[in-house]
Amino acid sequence: MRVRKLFILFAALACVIIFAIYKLRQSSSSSQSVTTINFFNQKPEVAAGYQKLAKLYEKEHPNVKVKITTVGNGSGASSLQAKFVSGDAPDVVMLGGLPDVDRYRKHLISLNSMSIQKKIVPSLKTGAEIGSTLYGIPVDIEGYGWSYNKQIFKKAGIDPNSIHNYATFKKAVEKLNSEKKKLGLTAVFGFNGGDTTTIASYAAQFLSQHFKNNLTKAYYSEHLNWKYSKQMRAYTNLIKKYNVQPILSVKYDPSVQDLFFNEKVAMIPQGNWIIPTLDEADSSFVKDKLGMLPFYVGNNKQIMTGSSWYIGITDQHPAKEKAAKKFVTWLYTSPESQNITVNEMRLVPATINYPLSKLPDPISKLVYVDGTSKNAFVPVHKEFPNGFTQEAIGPNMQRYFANRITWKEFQKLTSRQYYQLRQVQGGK
Amino acid sequence: MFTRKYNYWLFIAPTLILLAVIIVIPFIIGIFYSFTNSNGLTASWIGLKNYQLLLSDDNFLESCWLTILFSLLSVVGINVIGLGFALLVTRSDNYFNRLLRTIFFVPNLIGGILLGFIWQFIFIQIFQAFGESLDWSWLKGWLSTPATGLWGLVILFWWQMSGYIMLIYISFLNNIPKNTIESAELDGANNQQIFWHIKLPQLAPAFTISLFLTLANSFKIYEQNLALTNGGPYRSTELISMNIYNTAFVNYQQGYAQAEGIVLFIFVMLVSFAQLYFSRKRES
Repeated sequence: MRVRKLFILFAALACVIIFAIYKLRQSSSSSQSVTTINFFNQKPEVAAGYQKLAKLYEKEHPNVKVKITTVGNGSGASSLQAKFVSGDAPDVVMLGGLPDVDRYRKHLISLNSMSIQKKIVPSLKTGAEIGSTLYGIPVDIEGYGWSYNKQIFKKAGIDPNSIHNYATFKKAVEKLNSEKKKLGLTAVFGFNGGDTTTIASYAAQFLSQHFKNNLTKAYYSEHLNWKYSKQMRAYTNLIKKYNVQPILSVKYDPSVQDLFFNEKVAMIPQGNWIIPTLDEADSSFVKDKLGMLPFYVGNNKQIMTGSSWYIGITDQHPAKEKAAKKFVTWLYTSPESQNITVNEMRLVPATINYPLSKLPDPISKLVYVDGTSKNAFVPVHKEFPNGFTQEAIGPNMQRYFANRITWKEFQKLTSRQYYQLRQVQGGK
Repeated sequence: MFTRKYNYWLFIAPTLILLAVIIVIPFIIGIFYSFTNSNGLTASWIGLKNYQLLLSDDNFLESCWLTILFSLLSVVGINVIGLGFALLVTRSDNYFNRLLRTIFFVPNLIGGILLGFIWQFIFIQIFQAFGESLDWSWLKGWLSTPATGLWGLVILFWWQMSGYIMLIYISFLNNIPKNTIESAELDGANNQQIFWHIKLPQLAPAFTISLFLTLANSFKIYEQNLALTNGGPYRSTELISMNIYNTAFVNYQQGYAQAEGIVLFIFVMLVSFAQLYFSRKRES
């Protein structure tokens, strides 16, 4: 009995080993003619879309395999570093802003000679440009502003077109607040004060003007520019007063999926990246209800547009460089790929001359028009020093929200920490 | 004799090699990096500067104090609750008590990240809802102030660890010779007296183990911290592991983070040894 059991066990083990060897040999023998491109993705929300694109590309190019690794939500940076340090970095990497690009610059190749770089929306180029070398291509255009519920505005009798500066915006907010009960609102704003990333992109609405879309300059700047501090303070106080309380308990996911989607608030400080989430819950929401208002700072009358992520190519496997370049070009230019990025991943293309009629919803159209216009206006929060968002401006703003510090202290503290972090991290 | 010795090393070689490669060598490399200004990609020797900076780093010191406070609250709470659970389920061996054991232990099977999100939902949504319907203001706005943030973490950790510690106490409680309890009963001792004078002294080794486990675990806590508060509000609940991780992978000051890690290591080592020493002393 025991012998039989042992025999079965060994037979099973042998089968597994033989199968493994067979598989291993199969993959090694076939890899001689096949190039594998490793793509490191840091946007988990569109990972499925990239998988689909990879499959499509493999189908069209039988001798190329695209392997996608997705690591996001805070651990992307560390795992990317581990890959670079181990000497086996992916061929195509997603990088967030100039601090990332500068960090891995030695391992990135110049994309100046690629034809695709001429098609990039001009205002976004400096987000991955050092000296005059381009190291990355923006993944998409993101619009930053107030996402608002058109129907609630309508019920309250507010015409969004009548809002064209801070005073009229404030008036609309006050009106919404006075009719809170009738409209079924918990509060006017659903600002997610618990998340430092939202605070950073919010702050960038007031701190970017000085750099005039030159992100490289913003990256090298040793000081923050507080020219619009007064307006920032006014907006912040307005949010503080009319937000769901306690403001520091409001987190991103509940603010979109519960507060905004269930019409408990009229406005949240998010851009077009909330579209896929809203779509998943109810596909008519984006079409019928979602609108976007800009921050009125200085003379600005349109939403800020930028790109959080850039795609770069590494020099780790010179033999694969050509294939990687071809793949990236395909991502941005082929109609099949654009169809998936625009309609399924819901990204707004970061290339010029995209036919507006092909964009699936009014917000995407608005973001594309504003992003490609001459007055396009790029926020600088992705160029803040590493850790500035999580450790300086985020917590400081939260302290201001909780009345722990005054505005003056907020400004002083944030400026000092910005300077210190820049000193420590270089950025020379 | 020789073959026996040879066999001995042969059998422990795989473990030794793994331990060396995964723990010992990286640890030594880590000590080396704490003397550099490494940013993860490049590093140059700067001597003791990291350690000097640490002593005047308010954020780091604050994290240290917070971690000590957190550990104190957790160690006391978990052991009291765990022992309470153990006493409860060992009163008599029936179906209901066995079910209770399972229920108490289940939180320990859930990963830290999930626990964090579950409790975030409870603290923010459910506490708020109860607070509003009962008009109890202390239930509103949890995790939005430093105090509720810290207590949130402590409660989560109590909930997670108590069941595990309960198991240790159960096994020791079951090992207490029945005759000592019976003779105490015959002598007219009541339940309280039996607990304080008969059971508790015989539980001393259990305390040693439980205190050590809870202490070491509460100093190393990370995922729960990440998922529940992520250090917020305004970095007031950033425990030391999170501080180290953020320094290393958000700020990319990895040499500095390494120095923080070494300081944490020395501290945990000292505390653990001290605790073991005193507990053992009391045991005997």
